[in-house]
Amino acid sequence: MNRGEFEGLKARFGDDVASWPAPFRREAMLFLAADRSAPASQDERLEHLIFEATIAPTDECALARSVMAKIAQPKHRTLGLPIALGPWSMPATAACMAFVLTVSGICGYLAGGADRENSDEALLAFAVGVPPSELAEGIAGTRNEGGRL
Amino acid sequence: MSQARAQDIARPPERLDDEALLAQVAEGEQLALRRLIDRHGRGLRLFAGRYLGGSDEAEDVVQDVFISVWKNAKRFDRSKGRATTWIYRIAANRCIDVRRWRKFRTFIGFEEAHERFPSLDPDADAWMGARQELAIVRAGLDKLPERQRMALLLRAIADLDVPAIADVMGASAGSIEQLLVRARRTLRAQLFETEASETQDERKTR
Repeated sequence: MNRGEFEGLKARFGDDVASWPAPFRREAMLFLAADRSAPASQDERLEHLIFEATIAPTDECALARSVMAKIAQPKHRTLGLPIALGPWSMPATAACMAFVLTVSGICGYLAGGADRENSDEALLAFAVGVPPSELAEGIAGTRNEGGRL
Repeated sequence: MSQARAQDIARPPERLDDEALLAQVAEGEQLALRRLIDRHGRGLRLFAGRYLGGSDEAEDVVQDVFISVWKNAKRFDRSKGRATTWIYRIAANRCIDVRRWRKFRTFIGFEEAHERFPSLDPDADAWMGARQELAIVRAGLDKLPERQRMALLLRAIADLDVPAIADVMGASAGSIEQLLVRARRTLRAQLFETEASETQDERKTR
């Protein structure tokens, strides 16, 4: 920072350097401290070094233009509907999907559940070595009689 | 329009504090947002740039921060903290999101695994001149753990005190103190090592 830039910031943010926004205040402090011979504390000196190491040219006007342009854009509409979805839309969609999957699972279980006893028993019988032909007869008999295998 | 509000607007822009500007933003005044960008755009850009190491991403983050400020200014509660802290908290969270997303992209192979810490500006090193200690500090910052780096940058760039940094990072003041102490110790050690090796080299050349 040179004297001209310092004066420019004074015109921009006022005479009281302490009330300037942080990075400008730091830069001004560094500029003013250059005249002083009093050494700062170790931590202060390191912070000044860190600040100096991060300094780079920035363009607040370009940033403001970009932000204003984005703000001025019309709100995005989902599927052309005249509703604006808020930040809740993603979790709500995920919750709906989870609900639909759970309901589908339950319905599938209920739909297929009528024969599950037979299939369990057939598997057990198959496991102990009952031939498939007898197994089929047994299942048919169980269905007709309404009893267990 | 109330009399107090009319007085606020009539005052020179520089004299309005951040809280008053946020209150105006909450009422939909774009000029107040411009003033906030004027005051904090540079600080946020330096913070995000150094934390993320990528200038394009940092630019996007800062834009997102101000868009978020525009949309959520009504949520700002003056009694819970300063406006600066609130704005930097949005920026810190956004930066963390970007890093997580970058890690995820690296994990699935969309991005190379090396850490990206280019200069904010291609000519930045030349622009900084021959001050070697600044280069050491930059390299040291890049190697610090993320939370230590964030705490140190919030202290050095945003000039926040320990309770404010704790507020931004959602941690206790004690843990922030520890982060700062460790980060400073690491950077000092690196500076000291370089100075010591330089002194040895000088002795050898004599």
